[in-house]
Amino acid sequence: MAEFLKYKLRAETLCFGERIRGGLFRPCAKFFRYSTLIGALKSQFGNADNIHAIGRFVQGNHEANNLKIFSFAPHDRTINISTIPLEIEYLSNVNAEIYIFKNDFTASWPKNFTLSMGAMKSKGFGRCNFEYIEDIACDKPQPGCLAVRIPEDEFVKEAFGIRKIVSPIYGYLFRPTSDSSGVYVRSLFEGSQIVAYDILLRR
Amino acid sequence: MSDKPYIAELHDIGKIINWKAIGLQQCDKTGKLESEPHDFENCIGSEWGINFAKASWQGIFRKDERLRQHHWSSSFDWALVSLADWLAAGFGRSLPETKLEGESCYAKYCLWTGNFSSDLRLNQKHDLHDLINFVNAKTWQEIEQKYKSILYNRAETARPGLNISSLHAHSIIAGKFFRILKKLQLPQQLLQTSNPKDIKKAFSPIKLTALHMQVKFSQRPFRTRDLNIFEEKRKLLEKLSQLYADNILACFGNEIIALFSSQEDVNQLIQEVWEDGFQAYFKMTQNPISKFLDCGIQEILGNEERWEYNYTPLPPQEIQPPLCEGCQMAYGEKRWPAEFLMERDDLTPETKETLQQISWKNLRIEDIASADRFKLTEWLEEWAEEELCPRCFAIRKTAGSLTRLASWQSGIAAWVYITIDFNILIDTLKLLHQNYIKSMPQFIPDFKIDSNLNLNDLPVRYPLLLDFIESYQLFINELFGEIQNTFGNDDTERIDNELICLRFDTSDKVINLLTVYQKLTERYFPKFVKPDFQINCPIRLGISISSVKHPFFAHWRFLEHPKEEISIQLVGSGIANIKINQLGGILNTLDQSNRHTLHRLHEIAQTSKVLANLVLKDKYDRDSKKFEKLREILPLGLDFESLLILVNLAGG
Repeated sequence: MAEFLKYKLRAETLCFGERIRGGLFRPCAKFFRYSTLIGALKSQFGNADNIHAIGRFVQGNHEANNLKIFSFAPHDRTINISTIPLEIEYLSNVNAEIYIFKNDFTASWPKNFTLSMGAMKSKGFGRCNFEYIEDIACDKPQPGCLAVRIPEDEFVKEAFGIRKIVSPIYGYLFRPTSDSSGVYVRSLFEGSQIVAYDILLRR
Repeated sequence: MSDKPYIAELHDIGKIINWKAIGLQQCDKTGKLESEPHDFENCIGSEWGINFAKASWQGIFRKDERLRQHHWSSSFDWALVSLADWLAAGFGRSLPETKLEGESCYAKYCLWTGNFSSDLRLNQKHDLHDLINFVNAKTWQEIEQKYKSILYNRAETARPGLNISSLHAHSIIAGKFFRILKKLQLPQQLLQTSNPKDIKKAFSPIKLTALHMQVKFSQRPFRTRDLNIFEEKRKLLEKLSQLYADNILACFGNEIIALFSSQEDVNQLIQEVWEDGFQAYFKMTQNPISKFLDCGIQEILGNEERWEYNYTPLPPQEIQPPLCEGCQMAYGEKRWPAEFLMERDDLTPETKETLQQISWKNLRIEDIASADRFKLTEWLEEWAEEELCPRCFAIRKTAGSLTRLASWQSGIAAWVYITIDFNILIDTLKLLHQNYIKSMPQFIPDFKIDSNLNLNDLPVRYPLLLDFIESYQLFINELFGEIQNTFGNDDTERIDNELICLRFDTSDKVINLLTVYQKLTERYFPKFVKPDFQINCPIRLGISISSVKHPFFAHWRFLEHPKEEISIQLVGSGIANIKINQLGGILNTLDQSNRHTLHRLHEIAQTSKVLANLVLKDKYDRDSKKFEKLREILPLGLDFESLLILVNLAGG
């Protein structure tokens, strides 16, 4: 059995920026990236190995979690002019749930806190308010369809009760190995058929 | 193709004859019409000139043991044709006549139009002689060409209520089944059997594998050149359709439905998809032949979701940066456009060396040899460096020219994509069939239906699916042709069979597009357009609209998974979801609405959608009367968000 701390996440804007394409457009992922979330929590609370968390957007509200576009011209300081305008996708009016693996460390975190997450933080994006809701106990892994993106890592699988991967959909997520580098690790993407705790699964 | 055995395709060719009109179908002493002799049982005499040496006749005379023993004693093909006939039959082959009784219907009833075809059966003796001569001498393809219209119009079975699929579709499917069965290793004992019931029993436990597959790709097309992935996909599907022509029963969009007698062949097909750089997303079931005889497509393929991707070999556990920007599934070892330009013959070695040594983002035109500066100016201005894997690099490198798309610099682009939702298609066909049977008394006064017959159990079988796919292909081709005529060749670019891009100056032209779609859907599939809320339209129209330079993959992630019968995305604004049977009413209302009114509502919604909703409903608002028409749309089932998007588009 495992316990998770369920938080509500609200943010005016949030940008899970992917790589800039063609120098003109930066897409935004529509799914919480494990690495982005963990990175933000580690920045806030300290770089511990035993932080595991997933996020999922709350469905059912047309006004929330919509992709919008922001245009701006990045300033190149070396030549002191603005370059070609860049379009950035971002999520607006973000309403999500975050499930953090409960251990002694994470249980000591405040019930409410604010942190910055994702790309374009210097432009004011990604200011997230976390509000604790309740503890969630997960005892029996269930078969279902994965709703998030998660690295295929033994510690992560253990934390979230991933007992069996029935029919994977693979992709790659970035795992930092230092402040300035990292590696892409094979990951399970949304739609994979797995047996895991139901917080990971589509409802 | 000519060395393939096309015996089974001709097994029911006698059904294109009106045997009663010719005088070869008589009444018995009680006045009841005898069974139609469409197996040429009344044409055995020498005066008819049948050449029994021709293999095709073995399939036609499969039920006549005496003739079999006399002319084809060493062949077992007659048994395989019998089995193929049963497997390829529409529903009803095993249904007793008392369950659905009434006068025969030779013309095919089309479930999605509600129309009967014409009875074009040949009704002169010399036609019968001609047909016999053709079967004696010609190939199936030649016979098919000559009698095409009759084959398409004649129902596979003339039983009332069951005349919903064409003889043509049944013949094609029977041929495929025959050649699939021919690959089976059969026991000697079976080969000596002559009783059809024994054959059925002996074959029943033998298993066939049914495959439902979608060909997908992980590439996220960004540049016009990346759209070459659709051309590559089309070529792959064509290649598979040829290599596995007998196994593939239906191919539509990026989907294939196929049957195999050998698991190795299935694995080989799936592996071919992978080796061509695509992803096979499939579900597969194994069933005994006995199940194929009675069940429909949905029951064979399985209702539960057991879809999976093929990952052979498994993708690597880790990839060092940079990750390919195209597919994000491989190492991005190739630098675009530098390495592409280095392969050009018209650049100097000096320039090629420069391209190799200096990173693209640091490259200046002055670094390029003067002889090549003119050739590379546009590249330097328009292209940022991207790291691609060899596959994505090759896709971009071998791209043909989408010259119109590449030339559009301003205006609005609308990407239009059409798909079929297979599960909804099967459910809708079932429902339409039930409705047809219930309506039979209108057409056939003596029609009787057994009260124990459960219409909810009516399965959808392969010939009906094939007929639908053919109608759908004709619809798509005419639709895109009509779109090109409406918007002009310069402003349309067809990317794939089901994908087209249009350019226009103002967004209200989308209403013209919807009008064309509405008109053609009404003509080809009127039963889907009727406001019968039980019928869901299986055809999905997706439209994604933005400025012309907006990257394609942002459209594709919307278009690939349409949520409704008509889904319209206005990038940066929102999504409208509409049912096809609402579309006519909506278009009429938008047409009659005042443009100023539409603009005003759109402007209010820019500030607050909640406020816009209140204003729309407020009877004291100054435009309340003008909003009346718009208010009428909401009870049609359209949500407010969708209404706002349509208002935004219609306002121009």
